[in-house]
Amino acid sequence: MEMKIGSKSNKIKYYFLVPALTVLIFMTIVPLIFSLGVSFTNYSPTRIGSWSFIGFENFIRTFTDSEIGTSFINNVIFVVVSVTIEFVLGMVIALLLNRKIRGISFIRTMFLLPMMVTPVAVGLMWRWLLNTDYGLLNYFIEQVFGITSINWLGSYSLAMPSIILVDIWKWTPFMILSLLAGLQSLSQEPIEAARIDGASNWQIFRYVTLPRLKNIIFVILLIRTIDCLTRSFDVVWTLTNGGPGLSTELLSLRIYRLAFKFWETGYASAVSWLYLLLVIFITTRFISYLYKQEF
Amino acid sequence: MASVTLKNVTKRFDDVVAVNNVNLEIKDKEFLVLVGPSGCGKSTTLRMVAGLEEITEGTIKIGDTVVNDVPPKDRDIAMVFQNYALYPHMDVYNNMAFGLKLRKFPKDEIDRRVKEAAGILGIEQLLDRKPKQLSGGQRQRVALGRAIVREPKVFLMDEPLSNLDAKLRVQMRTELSKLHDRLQTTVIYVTHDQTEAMTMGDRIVVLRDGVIQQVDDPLTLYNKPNNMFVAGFIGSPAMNFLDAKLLKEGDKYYLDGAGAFKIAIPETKVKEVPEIKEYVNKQVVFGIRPEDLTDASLTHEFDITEDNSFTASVEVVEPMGSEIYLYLTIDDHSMIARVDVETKAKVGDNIKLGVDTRKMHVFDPETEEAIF
Repeated sequence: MEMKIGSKSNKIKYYFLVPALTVLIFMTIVPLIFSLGVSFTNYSPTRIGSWSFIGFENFIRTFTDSEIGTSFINNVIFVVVSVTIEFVLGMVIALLLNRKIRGISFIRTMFLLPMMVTPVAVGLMWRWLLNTDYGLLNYFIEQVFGITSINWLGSYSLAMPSIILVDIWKWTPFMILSLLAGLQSLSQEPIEAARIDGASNWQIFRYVTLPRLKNIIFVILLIRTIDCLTRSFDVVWTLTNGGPGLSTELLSLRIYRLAFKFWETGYASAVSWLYLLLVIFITTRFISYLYKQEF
Repeated sequence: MASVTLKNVTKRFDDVVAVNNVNLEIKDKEFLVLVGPSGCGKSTTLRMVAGLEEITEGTIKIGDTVVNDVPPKDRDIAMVFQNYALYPHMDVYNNMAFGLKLRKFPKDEIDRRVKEAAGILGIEQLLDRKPKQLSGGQRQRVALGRAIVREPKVFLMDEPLSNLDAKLRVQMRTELSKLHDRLQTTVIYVTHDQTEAMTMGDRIVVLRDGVIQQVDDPLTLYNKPNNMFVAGFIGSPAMNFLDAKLLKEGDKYYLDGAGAFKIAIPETKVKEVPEIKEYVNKQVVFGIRPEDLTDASLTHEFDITEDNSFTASVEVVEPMGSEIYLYLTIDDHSMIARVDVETKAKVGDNIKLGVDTRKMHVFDPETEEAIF
């Protein structure tokens, strides 16, 4: 009797998966396969009926497209500079917070806030802060240094640093919290042993703390790198829309523009797939390195 | 090589007094053991000597230098921690060499010292392993090696054997004693295990609630405890404490356990400690170690008379192999006797026990201080 009920409920549990699977299949798997198919064609929704199979042409075009090249370089600069600064800044602040401080939980919550704000809201807020004529930042700079009307988001040289600044503002807290959690999980005894062994504070950090944090550091760098590569669309879109010119055009923005502004769906799919392969490559390198670590 | 002197040392954590006005002189090359139950302040005392805790009041001297404000690295000490505290990312060689590298020793000197220490500890074949590839005993040796290579003035050991299994602990105990003989260095050793304290220490400091109870060599501590705490803490099974009243009948003084027992105090003791007379007709605590109680039916090395014996009923018999522990009761007193394996005592029996009165103790129940 129990067996029967068991086998019945065994079937029922699969029915519960149906809604999720349906959504997954139609929202992710079908478009994924569709995009792979489309990437070998010159398909465009504006020219339905006149599309044909063109082999690897889209993929070859990607490597010769100078605009894709610019976006790629932008992306590399954006990811490397943001993640590096976020990491260094996060580590310094985590080390400062890693002691008994009154109200530490309040400080931690404050640090969490930027991460909790919707990206579009972040973009809009910073667009206002960085506004050339009535932005708060320019107001303070004028008060302190007497320099007026800096065009943060509209000039070729400052637009990229500006979006990097916003990304740092939004994501350094993640580094701080992850590294702080890592620091607090380390046992204190090796640090005390090092103090007795004769290590200075810097030497303790360099030779005892940092090596033991290595795995955590790799994981958070991986998470941030993937995130920064694939998910920095919305903030940049609201802040600069990729401009001026192509100066802040990241790959994600470029792909969006190709697919939904120029309606070159086939080509956009090919670029997306190459981008996906790149991200997968970086990720697997990271992970295989991580697994090779001994402790 | 150096002596260590603690003068009026106090440590407070907010309102909690962890170490209270400790005065201690540790001689050069001495093996001094700090022992006490957990929370008695022994580790805190050691950590103040190491420089890992600030001293609230008082001074600590290593050699002739006051080290209160000297950072740990400049105190010329080495410490062995309970959890070994090895650097998990370094192999054994580098764990041992780290302190010397930081002190910028020449490479061949580092190599010589590490290999020599590894030789002494029998870990030469482990030098390229990481700590996690080692057993507990091996890790403990590496931790010792890390201390040895530094050739410090003072070794500080914080319960270094408590994470090892019983057999290994006994073995390492002997090895540590041998090592001390060989290195001829001052050692301050913290433990909660009174057996470790008794077997290893030249002198033992018994601490309770941050206050020193007694500082003595192991045998004095065992035979002449200052108070009931020391008497109960040192020795296993612990000393029996029985409430009694001191009576005087004629020239003789008796400990009267309200009918349960009546033991005469030997005249020699009364002569040695005449203060006992002040306690006539007052309550006292009669202390006797389990091994100083004898099954009267077996051969014994002293005469058993009415004055030094009583009858008790056996509750539990615990054969230990070389001896037998008897858990006994008389009226509402309970006690343990450690008797010869020849005993025929069985659970429920009433047996006659002889008291070796030469080794009896009497305590003041108010102050818990020993009268003798």
